[in-house]
Amino acid sequence: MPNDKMISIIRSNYELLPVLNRFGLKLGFKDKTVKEICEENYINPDFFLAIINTYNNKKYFPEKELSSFSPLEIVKYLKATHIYYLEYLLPRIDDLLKELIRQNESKSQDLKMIEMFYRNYKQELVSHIREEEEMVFPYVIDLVQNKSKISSHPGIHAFEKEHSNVEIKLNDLKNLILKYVNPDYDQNTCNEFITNLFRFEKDIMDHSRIEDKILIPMVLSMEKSV
Amino acid sequence: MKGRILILHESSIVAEGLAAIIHKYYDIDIQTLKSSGDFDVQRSSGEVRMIIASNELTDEVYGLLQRFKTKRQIPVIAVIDGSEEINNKLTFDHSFNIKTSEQNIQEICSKYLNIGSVETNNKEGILLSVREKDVLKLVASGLSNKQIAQKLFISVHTVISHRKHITEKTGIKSVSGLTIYAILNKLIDTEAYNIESGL
Repeated sequence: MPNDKMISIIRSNYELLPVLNRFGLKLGFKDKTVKEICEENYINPDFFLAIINTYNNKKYFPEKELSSFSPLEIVKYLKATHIYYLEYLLPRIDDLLKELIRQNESKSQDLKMIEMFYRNYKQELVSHIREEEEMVFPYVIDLVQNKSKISSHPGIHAFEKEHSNVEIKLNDLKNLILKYVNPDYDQNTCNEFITNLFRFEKDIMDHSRIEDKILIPMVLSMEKSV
Repeated sequence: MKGRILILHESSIVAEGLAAIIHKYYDIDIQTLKSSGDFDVQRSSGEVRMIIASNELTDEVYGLLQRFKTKRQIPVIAVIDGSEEINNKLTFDHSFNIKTSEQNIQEICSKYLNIGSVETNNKEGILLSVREKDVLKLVASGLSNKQIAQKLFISVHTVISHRKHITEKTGIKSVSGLTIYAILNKLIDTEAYNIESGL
């Protein structure tokens, strides 16, 4: 895998482009391999591949490589994911939903209800992201740099359960739109809206998997050793 | 999907190939083992729902399969390499060979995994019962399970059971999602109900 051409990874799944961007990588790879690109950009190739693999395969778990990753590089990646959500994907979904409501000639209440649910969901998600940025990541960074535990911090355990609620609501949102909305909307805008919603769901599930399967086990073992 | 499928075969091509085909259709955990010695009941999570095993049974594998079949009534499907007869030491429920089509594999799996009766998804699309609608209306108006129980003169346990069915049928789990569902389906009156505060 490290000797695969970088471009073949994208060719096999173009949805990985934003994932690459989070490592600071953009197109123009020519025929360079994953290993070459990673070395040029000071990225740990094992970590890069682990992220790609978690994205492609829900059941993937990099047990063997885990110890070679730095929690700091994981945090850096997760932060870049947050920026992608907050600065691009969520605003994009917002705009599409607004557009969808604007185009809806019959002024149906359905879409407004959905919008309300979405706004509420987004608020929860944003506060979850804030919490990670303000509480969890600084804790992890401190643990790595000072090899000490902030005594007042409840530990990494406390933040695992948060995910499920956000995931449940996203799934509800999808079902409400797919199953129960009146078909008097603009089809192209709606399709684009739904495509983005699915993309977001896939990405955020992957984001949670990285936290639950890579970051949390690492931090738990660090907590034990300090 | 809950539970897992066990594939016991010495050939990786057979085991991984079958696993890949089944994964195309079902999101279920599949464990592939080269020999029954690798099987560890304690370690594995989720109950075994189906076993696919090589037709060439060693005594060890035979013992394991026998236990699964007789004690736990788990379906066992044989993989036949060539033209040989099905091993009659154990009654297999079905068999696969190299010519079995993908569609056939899928059909057999759904038959023995009992999909259609066990999965919750199949309840999707069934209309809510009158009682479930009553419960849903109260959930949507922000009442707790206990309050709903008191209001409808039923036990909390029954409320929980209704709520489970509502979620299975609608595909919606959160209270705020159910509220929107109730409004979209005109089960509650938006005029009489302050939606903003309920969410």
